[in-house]
Amino acid sequence: MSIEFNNVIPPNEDTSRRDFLRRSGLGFGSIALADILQSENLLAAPSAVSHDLSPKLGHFAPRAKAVIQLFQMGGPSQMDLFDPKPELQRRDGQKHVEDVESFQPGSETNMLMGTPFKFARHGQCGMDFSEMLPHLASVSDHLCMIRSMHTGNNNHPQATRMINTGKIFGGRPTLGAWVSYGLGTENHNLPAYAVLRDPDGYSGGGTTQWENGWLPALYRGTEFRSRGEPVLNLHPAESTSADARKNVLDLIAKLNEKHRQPYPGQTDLEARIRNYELAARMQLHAENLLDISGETAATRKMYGLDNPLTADYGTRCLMARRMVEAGVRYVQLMPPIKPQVMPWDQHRNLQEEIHVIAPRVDQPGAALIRDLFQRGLLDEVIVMWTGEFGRLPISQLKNGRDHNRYAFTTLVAGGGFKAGHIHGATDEIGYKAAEGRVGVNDFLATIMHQVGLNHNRLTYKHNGIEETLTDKKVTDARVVGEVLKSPPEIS
Amino acid sequence: MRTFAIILTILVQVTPVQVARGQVAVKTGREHWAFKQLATTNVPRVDRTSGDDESLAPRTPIDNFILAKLHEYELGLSPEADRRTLIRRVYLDLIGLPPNPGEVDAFVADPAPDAYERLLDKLLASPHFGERWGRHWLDVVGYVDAIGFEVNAVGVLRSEDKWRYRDYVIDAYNKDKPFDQFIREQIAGDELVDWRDAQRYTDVMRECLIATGYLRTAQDFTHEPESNIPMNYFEVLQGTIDIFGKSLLGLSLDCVQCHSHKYDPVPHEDYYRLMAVLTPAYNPHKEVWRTVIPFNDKVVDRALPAMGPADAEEVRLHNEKVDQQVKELQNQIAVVRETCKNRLMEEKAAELARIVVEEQRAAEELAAADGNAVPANQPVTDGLSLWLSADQDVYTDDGGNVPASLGQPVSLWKDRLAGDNAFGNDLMQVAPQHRPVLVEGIGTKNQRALRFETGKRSFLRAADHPSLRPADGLSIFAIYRLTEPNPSDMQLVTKYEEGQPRKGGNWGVDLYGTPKRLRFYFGAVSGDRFHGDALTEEVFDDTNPHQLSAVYDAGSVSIRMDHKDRKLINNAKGPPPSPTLNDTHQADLMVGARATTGVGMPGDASAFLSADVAEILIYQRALSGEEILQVEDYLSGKYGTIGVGTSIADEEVAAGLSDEEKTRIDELERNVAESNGQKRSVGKIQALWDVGPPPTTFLSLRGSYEQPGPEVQPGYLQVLCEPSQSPLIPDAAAGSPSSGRRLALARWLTQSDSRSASLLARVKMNRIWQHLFGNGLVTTTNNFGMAGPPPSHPELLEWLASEYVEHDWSTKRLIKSMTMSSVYRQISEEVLGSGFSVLGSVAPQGPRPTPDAPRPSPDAPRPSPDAPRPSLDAPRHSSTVDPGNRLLWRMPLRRLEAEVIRDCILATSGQFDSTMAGPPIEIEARNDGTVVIPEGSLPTPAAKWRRSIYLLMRRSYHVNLMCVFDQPVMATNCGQRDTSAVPLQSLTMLNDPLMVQQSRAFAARVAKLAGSSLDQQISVAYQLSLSRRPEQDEASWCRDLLVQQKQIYQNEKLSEEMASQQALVDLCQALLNASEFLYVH
Repeated sequence: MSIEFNNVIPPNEDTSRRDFLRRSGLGFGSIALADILQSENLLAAPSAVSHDLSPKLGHFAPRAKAVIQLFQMGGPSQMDLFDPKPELQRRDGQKHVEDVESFQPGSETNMLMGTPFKFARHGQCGMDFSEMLPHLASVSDHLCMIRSMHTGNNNHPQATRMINTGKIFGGRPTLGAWVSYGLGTENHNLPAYAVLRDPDGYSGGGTTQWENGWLPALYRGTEFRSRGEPVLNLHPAESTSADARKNVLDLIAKLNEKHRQPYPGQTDLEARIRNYELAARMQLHAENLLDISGETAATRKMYGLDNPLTADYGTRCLMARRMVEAGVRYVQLMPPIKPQVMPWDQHRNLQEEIHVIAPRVDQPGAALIRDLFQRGLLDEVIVMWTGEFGRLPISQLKNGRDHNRYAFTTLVAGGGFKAGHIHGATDEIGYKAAEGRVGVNDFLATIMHQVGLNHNRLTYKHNGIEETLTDKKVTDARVVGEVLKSPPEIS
Repeated sequence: MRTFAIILTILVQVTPVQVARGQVAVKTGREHWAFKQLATTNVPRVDRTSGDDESLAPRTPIDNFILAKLHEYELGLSPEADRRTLIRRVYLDLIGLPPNPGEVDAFVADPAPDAYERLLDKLLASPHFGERWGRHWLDVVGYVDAIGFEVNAVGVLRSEDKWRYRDYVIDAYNKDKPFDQFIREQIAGDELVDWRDAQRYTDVMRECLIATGYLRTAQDFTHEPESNIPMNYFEVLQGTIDIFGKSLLGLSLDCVQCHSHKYDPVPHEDYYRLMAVLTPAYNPHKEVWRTVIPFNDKVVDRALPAMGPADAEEVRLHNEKVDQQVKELQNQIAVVRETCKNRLMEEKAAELARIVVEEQRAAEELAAADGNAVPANQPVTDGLSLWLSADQDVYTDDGGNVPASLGQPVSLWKDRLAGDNAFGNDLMQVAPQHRPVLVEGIGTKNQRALRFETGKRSFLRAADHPSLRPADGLSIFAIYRLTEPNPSDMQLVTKYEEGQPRKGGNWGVDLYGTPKRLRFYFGAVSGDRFHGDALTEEVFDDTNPHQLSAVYDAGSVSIRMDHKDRKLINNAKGPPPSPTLNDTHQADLMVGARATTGVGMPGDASAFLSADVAEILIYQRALSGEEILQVEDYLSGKYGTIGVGTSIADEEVAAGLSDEEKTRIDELERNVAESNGQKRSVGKIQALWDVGPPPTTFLSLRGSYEQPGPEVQPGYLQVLCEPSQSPLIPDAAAGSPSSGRRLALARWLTQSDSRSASLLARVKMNRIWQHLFGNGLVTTTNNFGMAGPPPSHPELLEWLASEYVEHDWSTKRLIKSMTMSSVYRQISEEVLGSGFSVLGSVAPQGPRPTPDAPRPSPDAPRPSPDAPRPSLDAPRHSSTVDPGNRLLWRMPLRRLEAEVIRDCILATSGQFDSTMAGPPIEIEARNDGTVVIPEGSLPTPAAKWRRSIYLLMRRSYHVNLMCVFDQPVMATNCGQRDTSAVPLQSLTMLNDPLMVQQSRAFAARVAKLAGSSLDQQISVAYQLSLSRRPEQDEASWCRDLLVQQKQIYQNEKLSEEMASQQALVDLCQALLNASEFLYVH
């Protein structure tokens, strides 16, 4: 671990917590010795390394304090939503001269297919959007549109892991886990890393999209539910009186405190005691967090809560805003799973299926960005709207498009990203990113940079190897300064 | 600060860690401690620290090594833990279950000097030992029952019978199979035994084949058609090499895939030499690649039958016999049911006949009142476009008569015979061999029908009839019966357009979906999509006759079957299709078949009807309700009460059975179950074996198989070979059934006095040490390379590894050596006891706890870290010098692993099911985020409480309780478990339904053992959960809780008894929540 864990104690903290930190062996003397021993690699003392979610300073001043990922699983089609290609329209129905890499065998030689949708320029910046995303288009002056994204694999599981963990292989920590590990959370009553998925079920990839990998489990994303109990096991399975519950908690506290006394150096025992207090606070805070009854009618309408088509996703978008307001560091918002678990995967009937998914996510996503802006929060919150890859300019099964790892478009709002800006370009038919190419690891490095973390210096030792999110020496990941308002601290 | 400086000096001297950058020469690498041959070590001499305390003195050579190091830092051991602590410690460490109170008391009272040793021997001999230590090995190899990387949360693809490997591992640990043999079997079991020609497998053969499951744990996507490509084959090979390197050599070989290792002396080609060892079995060519689940007929399964051909044949014959018995029994059951069904049908038929008669009478009355009404024994003729009847008079080759009273209905047959209108002669185009034939016997009146046969591709066809469009409204009536049950999709009538693209105007009635429902669809757009369709909710896949009435009216469909309105699903009310059909398009009407692609011949063989059709009437308008009844009456009159049979559902039969019939069926079903239980299965072994001649293996430039470099020969890691030894594996003798490469690798790895076996022994000993002492002597158990930390006690590791090799690689023996040591028997507390030990000093002031003396109460005076201590030199608390306890001046406090926590909860509550081995217990990941054991799938109710190692092992989805306690995500393998302390653990222990259920069972057990005395209850609860009696303050807190809770619950109107019970449940749950329960002390 080469990050400096400067523990920031919230000003209103009660003394027991301060006492805890002191007793945790985090005072200067013990840390100095431990550091020396560790640097000598001999008396490495893994048990003395405690992990917690207390707020930590990053490597440099952060531009943003929180991240919201609006994940658009399936591979949204860049040329049907964001990236108009007149040449592709002109050559509609013609054969493409080059070989095209398709995912499902059999369509490599299919004809080029133009978009059936109309495009127009929006906002003062004149950003192009197709008619399918009118609401996102209406906030285009807040958006940075990166048209030159590319990734490493054209299969969903691999590419989904890549956009979330930097590699196509399973079992690595996600960006959210790294950010929680690097920065902790400002609200110690809530997890640092929250996941809002469709309450009806998991998107493709399931929980692997918010896994901690080999980082300690406390950095894993916690699933919050937008219906019913907000967090699994937040409340007793059966109702019980508050007094009875309190007595049980008191007894547990007494037993655990007595048990802890002979082990002053064992910080996990102290953490366990605090966890029962935190659990009780979480019950309250999680409930409040998710109680949107206090939101104005105008807000609810803006998020589309009055419309059955958008109510579910809109609720989650609104919850995401409340979460970052409450200090949650990283919110991952998964797309609707009906009618398909990968809603943007249009192999067959692109036109019809985009008509199904786009209206479900368009208005709520735009509302989130507008709401954050109106509350003055957009400067310090990054909202990213991205899939795992893009789609091909040739047709598949008559009216669909297959997966494309060479080009896709990602939208980012807030958090010091340029607003009303289009970065990069694809080739004339939208098949490959051509100008200002941004690899997935470049993108991840840039997000980390904006929250104040150096992607190459936030490390975790696993099997004796200093691991990083972006694995720069292999991927050559860089912070993409071109999409940022102010010059980056590192390149 | 003086000592501090000394420590630093020593550290700097003994750690010349120089992590080389770039490629490390093999020659230099051979000098790295981990890659050398085992060094002979002398057990250091240690002066006794304290003359009278046995426990502080070395008992075993292990103690000498540890003490020697402690003495360097002027520290000593802590005293021995009391016996209650010790017995719980060894139970948890060796078998992963807590001792029961009787065992604890017996051990505490045992005066024999060898009491502790006998306890160890007993536990090492327990079958639970293999479960506990086998689980550690399963982590190391990355064992899962699932395949791929679990893209899907809710569904799981599994590697069939993979559990045999899990049981093999447990068994190997229980037998104390020498570790070198264990490794040879896992790498090359298939090459150790001659199984290929064996008619019957011996136990040894079976074990050796199952053992190769070790090489079958890497992530594998190739069961997906899209991923069945070379890139993914190589991923499986790379994953297997990765696990091989980490698990056996403590080396991360991932990076050598692309270039020579940056830190370790492993050149690029070494990686591909290892790959060449695997390619004869994992042959990465499409023609021979095997997948775990084949996705089509051309792909081969990567599993072997679990028995030889002779045994498999015996099983087959045996099962055939059982099947025959079962079939006979089921026939008998069917006869009883049929009898009952016939009885019910008769009753119903009588009822329906009564209704029909009444309706007919009503219709006649209506007719009498309104002179224009058509008589009830005639169909409505207005709008009748097509009338197809199997009436013999009509359907003959040489002509027939249509009753004159029908006016001018367009009858297919009539017109064909007349040859003068739209339907005209097209019917004739159906070649005689495809024409349906007449059969007898439909309906209670035994009327004739036309038999359509799939095999014969029978159909009827009439040319375009433009008026038959749904836009105009349509009504269709039919009497038919399927001639085969559960058919494939089949068409009753359809109007389908020829030519491309198809643009609407067509419609049809078919039997569709799985299972079969009746469907009316209309308005095709381009592609295979319809504007709308309507399906009956009920299934009609039986062979009973049916009377169908389907009416399409302004975009909405209604369907009646057998005189009853049917609920529709999917009644998509699309707009009526635009009438784009014009005269230039030909749209034929088909009966009994689907689309036509050529004149006269249906193109889609899958949609032929297998049915008898007696009558079809098609109207070019939507009939009114009254008219519909009239047509139905007409049909009833002609065919009798059609469709009664279908309305006798299985449930109705079940409800209608007489007592006698019920008894008989119950008895027969018991016999069926009994017979089925006698069935045996051949089963599978998920093995690895050479599948053919070895392919050529190339080095991949930059790790990409698409850039092959020079060819490489199979071989070993050079750094683990002597300079004089060839690192290459020679070709197998001609005619050998396998390449022998893995066998060579296995022998090389375990050959005594070799660098490779030395490393293998070190890595394994380090893992065992980690499991007993919390950390390995080398903290990175999966990385012994040059970038990893050196061992904290290098000589001890050498000694342990040498002992291991010399004593036949006996794991139990080494575990016993470690657990016999004074180091292992120390207390774990930091500030209690002699954490102040100083070389040459005496024990600290105050009474030292003797084995099983009561623990001092916290209120009793106890040495303060800051108090002056009697010592010769500047005394220091061990925890200041070595806060991380790397020198082991006390026994580390260790949190239990997820599985052990669950097992201990079950053992404490008394619900633990100790059944061993066999297929895994299902777990289910649900959409609400819970992962649970579904009740429905259990072989026995108690199986829900089987040991955690027997639950279905998925990569990322674990039972919630275990997930929060860091059961690892098994992406590759796991060398070290996390031991996090997070709030979700508290929430789970308090609120998870499993915990609530277990607390209740625990309380019931306590109540049964302790009776109603509160003190007794508290004492028993403590002994069951924590293996000790409560101290005074604890007892009083617990008592308070019991009293308070009871009061609260009584106030909540519970009876006194219930309130007491609930209070005890609360106490029991609090004890399970106690930190003490989660740790080994």
